[in-house]
Amino acid sequence: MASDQQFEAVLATYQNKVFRLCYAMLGDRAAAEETAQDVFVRIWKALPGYRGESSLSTWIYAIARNACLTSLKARASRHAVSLENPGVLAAAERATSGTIAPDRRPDILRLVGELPENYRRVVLLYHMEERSYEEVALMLDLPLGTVKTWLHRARRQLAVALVEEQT
Amino acid sequence: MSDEERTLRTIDEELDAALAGITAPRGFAATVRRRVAASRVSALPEILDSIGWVAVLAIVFMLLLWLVPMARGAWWPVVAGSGVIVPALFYGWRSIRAITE
Repeated sequence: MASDQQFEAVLATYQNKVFRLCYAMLGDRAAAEETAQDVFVRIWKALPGYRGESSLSTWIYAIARNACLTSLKARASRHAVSLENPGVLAAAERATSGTIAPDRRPDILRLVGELPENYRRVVLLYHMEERSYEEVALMLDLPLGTVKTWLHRARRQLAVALVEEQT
Repeated sequence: MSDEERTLRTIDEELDAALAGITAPRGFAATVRRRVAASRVSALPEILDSIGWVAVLAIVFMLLLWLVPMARGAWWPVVAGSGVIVPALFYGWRSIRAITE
């Protein structure tokens, strides 16, 4: 069936992007995985009705953002978003390249977790998306200038926090 | 290079090391396919619904024929059959259309 083939193509192309967007918005790897799965089920249901009014990536990221916002609302009363949970730390450890002492990595992620939500999302996506401002702007539906400004402020806050922590 | 620049560079390097290359977990696509397959709409309940309507209408027509003997005539089997099957097909078609919209 044509729509099944289209869906397979979408899944192959966007699974990592959608997962990273969910991870940046939710700050939790397990929640990101579950929400990203929901996103693709929604995409599968909605794909036959997609008429191409917006680009496919814009359409998919909009579905993903909405799913994340719904997930955040549902979780809000249960627990706060945290980058300190075991799933995130395990993910960070898996990503360790060996160039930096492993015991320092959770610290920087914890500091990122303490940033305001909009800064945190931008910082996480920027580094997950190989430092592409354009990709972050597209995924979060933000103007390019806003992404640059928030990222700049976030890095300054992180620098201050890191220096304070080391002294 | 100033201290601030050095600190910012350290932050960037650490975040790159921690976050660059993060991908969806292994088995993610397979799980999505399973969930999609599970969420596919089945036509079976609607077919059973249609069969149920056929049975109900058949009983109604048999009762009518038994209660009103005048209805017996040369064309009564055709009329009775149409009266049973057409509404049943209509209800079935309407249900299937509703769930696939």
